[in-house]
Order: sequence, then structure tokens, then C-alpha cells
Amino acid sequence: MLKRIKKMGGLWISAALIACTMTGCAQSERAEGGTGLLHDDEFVFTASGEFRPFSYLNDDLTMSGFDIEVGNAIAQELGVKPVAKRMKMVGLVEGVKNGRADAAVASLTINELRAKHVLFSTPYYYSGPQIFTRPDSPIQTTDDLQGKEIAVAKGTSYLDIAKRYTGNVKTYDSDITALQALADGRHDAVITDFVTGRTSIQEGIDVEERQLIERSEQAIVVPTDNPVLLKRINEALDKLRQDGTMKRISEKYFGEDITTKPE
Amino acid sequence: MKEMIRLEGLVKSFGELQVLRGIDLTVEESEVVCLIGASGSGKSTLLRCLNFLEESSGGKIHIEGRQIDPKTDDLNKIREKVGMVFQHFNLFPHMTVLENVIEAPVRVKKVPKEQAVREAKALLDKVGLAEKADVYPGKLSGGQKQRVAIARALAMKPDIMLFDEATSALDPELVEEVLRTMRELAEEGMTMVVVTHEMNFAREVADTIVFLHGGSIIEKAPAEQFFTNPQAPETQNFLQTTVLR
Amino acid sequence: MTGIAHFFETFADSGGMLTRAMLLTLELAVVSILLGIVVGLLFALLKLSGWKSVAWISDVYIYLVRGTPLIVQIFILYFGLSGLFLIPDFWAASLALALHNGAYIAEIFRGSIQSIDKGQMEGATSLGMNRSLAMRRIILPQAFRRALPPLGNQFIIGLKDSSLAAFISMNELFNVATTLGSNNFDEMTYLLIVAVYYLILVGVLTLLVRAVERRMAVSER
Repeated sequence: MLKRIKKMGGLWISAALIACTMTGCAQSERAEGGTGLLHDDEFVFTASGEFRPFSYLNDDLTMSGFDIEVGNAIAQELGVKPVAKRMKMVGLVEGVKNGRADAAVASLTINELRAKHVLFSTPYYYSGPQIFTRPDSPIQTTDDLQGKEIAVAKGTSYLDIAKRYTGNVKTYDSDITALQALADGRHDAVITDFVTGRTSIQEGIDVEERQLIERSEQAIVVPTDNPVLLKRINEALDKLRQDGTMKRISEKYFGEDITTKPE
Repeated sequence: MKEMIRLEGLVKSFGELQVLRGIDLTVEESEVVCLIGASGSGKSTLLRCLNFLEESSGGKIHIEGRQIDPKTDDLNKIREKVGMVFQHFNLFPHMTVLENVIEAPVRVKKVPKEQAVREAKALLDKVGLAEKADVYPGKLSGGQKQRVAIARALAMKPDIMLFDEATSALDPELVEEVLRTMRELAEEGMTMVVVTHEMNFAREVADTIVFLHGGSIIEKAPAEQFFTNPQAPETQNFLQTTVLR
Repeated sequence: MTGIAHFFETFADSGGMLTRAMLLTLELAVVSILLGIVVGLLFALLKLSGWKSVAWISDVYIYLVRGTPLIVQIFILYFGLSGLFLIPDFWAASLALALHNGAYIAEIFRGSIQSIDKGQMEGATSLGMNRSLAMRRIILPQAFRRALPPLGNQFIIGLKDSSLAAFISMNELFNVATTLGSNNFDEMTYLLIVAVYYLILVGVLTLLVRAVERRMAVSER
């Protein structure tokens, strides 16, 4: 019996060792000053490539989009080569935490829960759920939504928001279809992301934007043990805002500047 | 005469079960010894101890005058001198007949391949299978397989040959061709220890018959005397119930 | 009808990208299967070594691999071990897949080695061959033939499992197809297309394995 316990003990120790490396007991040395980058000549950032127009796949399997251009601009500001790395799911943030990438430039929304595990830069664009209606609609604010028919995309947080104001909610497979249906004369309003709505309007869907219900701020994510890089990224973002680069990139994709706090 | 094998008090147990209970036996050069006895009498185990496929539990084994210690001696070197033929042939099915025969000389003894092939062909010719050299064993009859197995063992140029019920797995009409090969081998002066149920063969070819019963040697006698005038009651009983073939 | 036309149109349009992605899938599959054979053989021999403590290592390895999902293993190798040493992306994926395949291949080899009649080892031993020579020349060639059908099966599983490398930034078939699907709001079409690619790959692999099997069977007769 004793022998068995001893044997088990060995097992537990090795298990603990493995768990230790995985959760980062052996955190890397990059926190100690320096460039804060994994490789001195590269800024490696993750994005999903599945979030048009923020990041999407090109024919040669590289990525383009708003997020990618922001990442590239930051790399240029840091004086190193940009490397955009495509990551699905967990990899997006986990890759940053575990030294597979320097940062995530992936339209990640700041919230308190996430801030316990990563560092957020200053917001590089602003978004949030917004009311969209047909141009002739009298609806202006959430007060006007009482009892109206609202369409949203399935599986989004907008469904919960819509239910706060009305019991009559219709769902669609995508935000775009919902907006198209609205323009075609169905429903009274659509709640969707500010940027998605604006992009659709630009693409020719005949709807108008009304009240911005909540504000979300999107930021670049770096690991908690790398304040050096966070500082450098924030400085780079400031520079890019001041010299008009952020505005230029934003206008290229959205026809307006979403990188400054809307008021 | 030169002493090839000498056993002193050889004991073998499988767990609780004692299969050999102190065997003393000497085999001299060119002697043909047949081990006979009922199944379970220990004759196959005894044979397998002789080339160390089974490790004995006690007693001494001398091969060609030297006592062998399985712990320190290179058993593979000893096995080169002691060829073995099995009941189920144990030919290598993924190799042709010729490849079967040259495998050990080339890989173990490092005989040059051309020489090994030449010798193998001579051996196959001797067992009457020269034309089957490039055939896979699957295409052969049981008797042909066993003759290949004999040629394969002879290719290592052993001083002693062990036969473990070499004809027991064969159809009756195929037994004779194998026995003929064995008989020729005996006539050439090969030292042989043969476990067999072929009483006629034993009587005709063996110099000495060893009768085992319950893991002990009950009777050891020249062949003719053994069959005509058995001494021990167990032997008499065995010979009465065994159909002479 | 328009659905079918759309499928073929999309199939043709995405051909260039998906062919490139398919090459990476093939690379991952081939490397991980070859490595898996080496790993599998090693652990099968450890298991059959006759030394208890060594066989135990093999048992633990097989238990760990079979007891956890492949995707978890891939993430652990890719992210978890990066604190100790950083394996390049491609090799992290290949290694994870190889270690995974290896456990199953080890069991296949163990079974096929044990299925070889023990008379074969005795026959070889009686000719003065030592254990490793007998293993190499007599047992393994026969065991390998016997292992071919289940190995072929494992190769197919390995090929398809390589799609999980999508989650650690490999631009292989599944990853590129699903991304194109989400980029174009047309996921089902791309999923169907990628299914066709896998079917073709598996079809070719099946034919290959069958051809090898037939050749080996012929040589034994």
C-alpha cells in the first residue's frame, strides 16, 4: 500500500511539472526590458482572418483588412517587420499568452474579465450595438423601440439587447440579411454592430443609423508580463492617431473614422 | 569416441510442475539417440534444453566437452553447433526456400553470399529440392517444408542435429521422404538426438534408445535390445500400447 | 440547379488556394505518419521488451494519448510547452499528430508482432540468430505485412486528423476552406468542397495501401 502511494506520488509530481510548464510557472524572460518582442526584428500579431472587413484571407493565403493594416502600421512604427499570423479560436489570445505571437490585433473588445488575463492597449477603434431603421422611420432611441418588431442575427448578444425593449424579435442567419430585410420593408428596426451597419450602408443597403446603445472599445492584446511592449504599442498608436494614419486606414475600409471616441 | 553431449542431473520445472527430474545422459560423436516416451514424458523439453530454447532449472549441460553456463556463455554461438528441426518446420514464410537456407550463414556466420548460395544449393540438392530454390514455403508440401528445414539447419554446419517430432505434423504419405533424409544424415555420421513416435525408424536407425517416463530416464539401451528385450515394466507397457509403424 | 452550378463555380474559383492548402495537408499527413510509424514501432518494442519498467513507460504513453482528445494534445504541445522550448508551428503540429498516431500504431504493431507464431522466433534462435537480428529479419517483416490493413486504416485517420492543425495556424485544407466560407458568408459550400478534397485524398491513399498489400501478398506465394 505504502509503495503504491509512493509510486502515485511520482506520478503526481510529474503531472504537476507538466501543469506548471503549461500554465507558465516558467514564464519567459521577455519581461526583462529590451524590445519586448519575441524576435527583435519582427512584430508577430494574431488575427482570425474570418472577420471581414477587419481580417480576411487573400488568394495567396495572407491576410488583409482593417486589423491587419493597423498591425502593419504599428510594426512600421516599431521599426520592425510585421508578421500577421492566422489563428482560430483559442489560439487568438492563447498564442499571445504563450509566446507564439507578440500581440493580438483582432478586434478584441475590452472587458474587465479579460483584463485579468491580458493587457489591453488604448482602444484603436470604437464600436457597439446600434439601432438601424429605414430612412423614413420615426424611431430614434431605445425608448421608441417599445413593442416594435426588431430583427437581429442568430447567436449574437444583440438578441438579448433587443429583448430588453420588445417581445417581438425576429432572427436571421446574418446581420447583413437582417439589414437587407429591413431595407426591403420588413420589421421596424435592426440592432447590430455599429461598424457592420455602417459597412452595409456603404455597400448600398438603404437603412439609416440611429442611437448607439452601448459602446464597445476594441484594443490590442499583449501578455500580462510584457508591459514594455504595451507601452511601445500605445506610443505607436498615439503617433498613428496624430499623424492621421489611423484615420486614413479607417476611411479606406469604412468611409469614416471609427478610431476616435464617438460623441 | 568423442563425447558430444553430457547431461548431469538435468532438472527443469515450469513453476510447480517438474518436467525433468534429474537426467543423466551422454551422446557420443556420430551416435543417433532416439528419445521416446508418451506425450508429457518430458522428451521434447529435454531436447529443447539441449540448445537452450528452454533454460534448465538445475544440473549441468556439457556440449563438446565444455560445461555451458547460460548466464555467461554466448548461447547463440552454441546454437550454431547444435541444429534443430521442429515439428512445425518454422520456415520463414516471407523468404524463398533459398533465402531461408542462406539467412543464418550470411547474417550470423558472415559467410560471403555467393559461397552461402553455392552451399545452400548443394544442400537443397541433397534433400531433393534443388528445383524449389526460388519458391516460397507456402507453395511446398509438408514433407518438402521439413526437408527445407533440415537443409536450413545443416547450412550452419552443425556438429549435432536435434529433431523434435519432425514427422508428427505430416500426412502419412509424406513421412517417409523426411525419414529418408534423416536416415541418410545418420549414415553420414551426424550426431543426432531424435524425439520421435516412429518406432520402426528408431529401431532401424538409432544406436541408442532412451525411454522417458514422468520426467526421468526409465531405460536406456541399444536399439535392438530395447525393442526385443525391454527391461522396465513401464517400457514394456509403452511398447505394447504403441502401434509399431 | 443554381445550387449545383454555384458549387462547381466556387469549387473552380477556390481551386488554386485549396490546392495549395492541400499540399500542406499532405505534408502534415506524410510527415506525421512516417514519424508515427517510428514512434509506434519504438513503443511497441518497448512494450514487448520483457522489462516491466520499460513496458510501463509504453503503457503510460498509450494511455495518455488514447485518453485525451487530439485537439487537446495539439494545444498542449503548441502552447503549453512553449514555456520550455518553442517548437516551430509546422513541427509542433507534425509532432502532435505523430505522437497521437504513434500510440495507435504502437498497438497495431504490438498486436501484429504478438500474432506471429512463436515458432518463428524459435526457428531463428535455433539458427544462432540473436533477438534483435531475429526481430529485424524474421519477425518484423512478417508483422509489418500483417499490420498493413490496420495501418492503412490508421493512415486514413491520420490524414483526416491533420485538419485539427487548423487550430494552430496551419493553412491546411480545413482551415483555408472554413476561412473562405466565413469570409464569403458561404460556409456550407466550402465545407462540401473541402469534403470532396478529403474524399479524393483518402481515395488515393486507399488505392495505394491496397496496391502495397497486393504486392506483399504476391511475394509470399
